[in-house]
Amino acid sequence: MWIQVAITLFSAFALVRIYAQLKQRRLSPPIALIWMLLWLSVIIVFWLPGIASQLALYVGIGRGADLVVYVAIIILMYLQYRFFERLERLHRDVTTLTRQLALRDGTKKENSSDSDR
Amino acid sequence: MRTFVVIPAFNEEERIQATVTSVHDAGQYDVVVVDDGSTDATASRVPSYAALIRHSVNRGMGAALVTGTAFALAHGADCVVHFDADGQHRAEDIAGLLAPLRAGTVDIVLGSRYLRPDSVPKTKKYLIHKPAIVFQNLLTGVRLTDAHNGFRAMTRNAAEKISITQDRMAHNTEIIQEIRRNKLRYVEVPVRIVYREYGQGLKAGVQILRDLIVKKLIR
Repeated sequence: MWIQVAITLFSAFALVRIYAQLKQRRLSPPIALIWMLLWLSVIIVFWLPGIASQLALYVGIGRGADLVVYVAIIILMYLQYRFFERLERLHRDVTTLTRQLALRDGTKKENSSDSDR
Repeated sequence: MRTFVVIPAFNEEERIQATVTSVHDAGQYDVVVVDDGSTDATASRVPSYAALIRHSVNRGMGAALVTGTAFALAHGADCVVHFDADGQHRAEDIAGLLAPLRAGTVDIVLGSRYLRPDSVPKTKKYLIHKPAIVFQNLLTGVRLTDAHNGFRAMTRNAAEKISITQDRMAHNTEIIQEIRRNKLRYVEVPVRIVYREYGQGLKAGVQILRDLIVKKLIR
């Protein structure tokens, strides 16, 4: 029982944070909705584990807990990919910015180079 | 033909001055040093007759070459040469690289260690270079005798067409891919590489592979 209460409290905390981020426009409505559904499903599965078991049987997996683990792994792998992708994009942006700054500011010796020719 | 020699440099305070001087003395070249976020005195050791542009943070050799090439193109380069800062490349080989470009027969000239007999230590040749060359030829579909020595010269047209997105060492392979994509005419000419104690080892090779795979997966 206590684990269900703890998970519910944590999920509620996550839902409040998502809502706050949505209000501050840090999350787009579709992404916020996906996260909210995810945390609501966590609460439902912990209070009504039979639902997970029924779903597991429906998709051909033995136990509800297995289904939860499989889904969690898939979601985590996808998130990992998204972070990786974002990091690579960030690297590219930093390079572009560094280059623009360098070309704008760092040509102090350019005139002397040209005058040598 | 106005030729710019682009020299990316990261923490090369001990060698940059000698390298730039050797290039300057070798011919009528404009020298551009890209200080790639060095934390030592590299920038202050660059002679005043060379143009100096500075990355405020280290972005890697590929990124520095792109910056230097962009600078060269913006300042009227007809040819662009990529040259290492650490003394591995010899300035007297630049003329040999430029000759086919001046003749107008090719768009890009690549330096090759293996067109000059016995110029590479055997362990390096068979354990590192040969597998890298086979891999590069398979990946790019361009048959070359060398890989990753980084000494090359290209026309303005080729420099404008070649798109380098790899910030680190994988840009060498990317340039070969770009040669094929843009159907550029190329030739290899013999160059001599002066070996230093350090260089690209196995770790760098793994990093290059990782960068190439990430590019395939993400971009």
